[in-house]
Amino acid sequence: MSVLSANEVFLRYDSAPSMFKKVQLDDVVMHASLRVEAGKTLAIVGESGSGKTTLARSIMGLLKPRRGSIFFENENIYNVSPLFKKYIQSQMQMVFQDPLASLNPMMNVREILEEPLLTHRYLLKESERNQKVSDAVDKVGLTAADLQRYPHTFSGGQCQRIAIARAIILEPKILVCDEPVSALDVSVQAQILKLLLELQQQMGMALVFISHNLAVVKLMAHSVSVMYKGRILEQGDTDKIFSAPQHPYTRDLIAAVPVPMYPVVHNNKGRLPFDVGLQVVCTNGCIYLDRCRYRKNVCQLSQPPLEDCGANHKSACIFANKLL
Amino acid sequence: MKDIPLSAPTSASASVSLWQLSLRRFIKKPSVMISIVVLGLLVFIAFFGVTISAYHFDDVFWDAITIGPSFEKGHFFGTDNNGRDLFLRVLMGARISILIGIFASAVSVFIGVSYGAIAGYFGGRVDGIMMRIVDILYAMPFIFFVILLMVFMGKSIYLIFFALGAVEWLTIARIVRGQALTIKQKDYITAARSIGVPPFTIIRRHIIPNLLGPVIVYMTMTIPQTIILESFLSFLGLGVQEPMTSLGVLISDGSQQLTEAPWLLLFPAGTLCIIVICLNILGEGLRDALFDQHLK
Repeated sequence: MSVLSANEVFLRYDSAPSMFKKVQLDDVVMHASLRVEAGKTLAIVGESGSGKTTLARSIMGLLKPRRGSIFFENENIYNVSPLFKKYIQSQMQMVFQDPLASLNPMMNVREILEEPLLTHRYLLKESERNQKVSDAVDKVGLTAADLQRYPHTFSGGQCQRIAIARAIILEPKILVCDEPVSALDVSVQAQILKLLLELQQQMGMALVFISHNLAVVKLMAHSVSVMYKGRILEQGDTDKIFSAPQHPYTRDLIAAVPVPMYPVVHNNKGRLPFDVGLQVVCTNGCIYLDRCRYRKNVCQLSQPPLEDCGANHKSACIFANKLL
Repeated sequence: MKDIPLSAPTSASASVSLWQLSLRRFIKKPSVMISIVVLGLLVFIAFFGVTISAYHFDDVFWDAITIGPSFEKGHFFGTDNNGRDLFLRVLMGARISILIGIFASAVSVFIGVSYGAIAGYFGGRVDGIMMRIVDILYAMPFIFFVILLMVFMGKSIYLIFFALGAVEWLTIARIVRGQALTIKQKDYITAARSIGVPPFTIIRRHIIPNLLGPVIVYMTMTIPQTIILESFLSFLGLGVQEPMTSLGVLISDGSQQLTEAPWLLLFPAGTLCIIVICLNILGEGLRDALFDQHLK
């Protein structure tokens, strides 16, 4: 059963606020459909500006889709009673990219961790609340002495632990992680990822894991959605995406991962073609046309929809299964 | 040979908030310490000196009318042309001026912070309308506004608190609104919103504590400004009324007898200068202490 699904979501931001009119901007996410299974991890991969974070904000209920809908356990999260909306908010939590920026500098750790409890579990007695706070601190590997400290006295990794503690304190069903380790040292990254995996096993929550780091995605995710310029180009189980990618962009992404410890070979294979998207005016064709190494003339005709190309595997390329 | 501990004890400094850090930096400055001591002494004497004195501030000394400062007669600052002791009157005036400065600033900070934070946080149309209202009020002549208030509500010292506060909140609202606009972009606001914290709780718990720095600095700068404004109102006859006095009233009276009795101007004006200079030093010290907190 899926705890979360998005159905043909279109997202756009409003322009700078004006008193009298709204200037319409282009959609930044188009035709986005996802399913997150209970207790599983879905990764959203893509380069900067591909709309990953926008989609995550919409999933969290912060940005209403222009078209399409987002369901939490069969309830449209933008069309529910206020009471149920509150329940949904308690069941979906988010971890941000910049750990320090996601913690209020004026609040100490105890106040930060109490905030979700005060919002959603306000009937708890003080002793029960303290118990939950110390449990959460325990789970993420901090100590009770840290509760009185302020965010600026912690390192980045520790701040991310606090942010994770805040996210899990309500025992949510879904945890949305927006690039949770990309601002951290490599050595700390592994600890945080391990912590997330452990917590997922203990608490059985589903993860939506947003990242541009394919190695991390391979480690964490059960299924992957690859995004490019606001569209999902390929979707499927992690092993299939990595072993048999069916979209040229996914192939380029995988090939672009630098492999350490090997001498650098200077050839064009394994390099992402330079992004010339802004120069090529192509309104109808495939959005990956300008960088695609497999392109044919037919690609200029229309953007192929995301279609099945195998069991649990979708690709938005007309040459899916026929790529060499 | 004694062992030197390799690591400094961290537990003592670990749970220090940014406020406490700023406060430590603040009182470390000698100029700030001197200002605090001078201002503290002045406030202490102004509030307790008048009370314990054997005389009342409007007692008339018939044997000493318009005499200069003299220690033999016990009139340290001399007396005015009604034979009232200037020392007591300056203390009384300082008390009223400081009270007006503090209360009017408190009123303006309260209105300005709430108004600006709401406008900045909600943004969009709400912000547009609320800030246009501020623009319109800004355009209204201050004196006209005060006279209007006096006419409708009668002369009273509380009205001056209110009138001055009601004018000064406009600038604070603008500062706060600008701060709120930047703060609401921060991830911790997004985090609070996604948790489902209600908007007014977000404003109270996250926005306002994070923008208080500039507001406090501005407030220490507005207190002297308010004191001077009150002097101006009193000078026009709209402020504090006889026999009650304020530094502004004393200065305006004294300036009329500058040639015959210069002490009537010098002592009140000197006291006002000391208060204003001390508050300005405090304001600047606060600004330095609060805004280089990222430099450590």
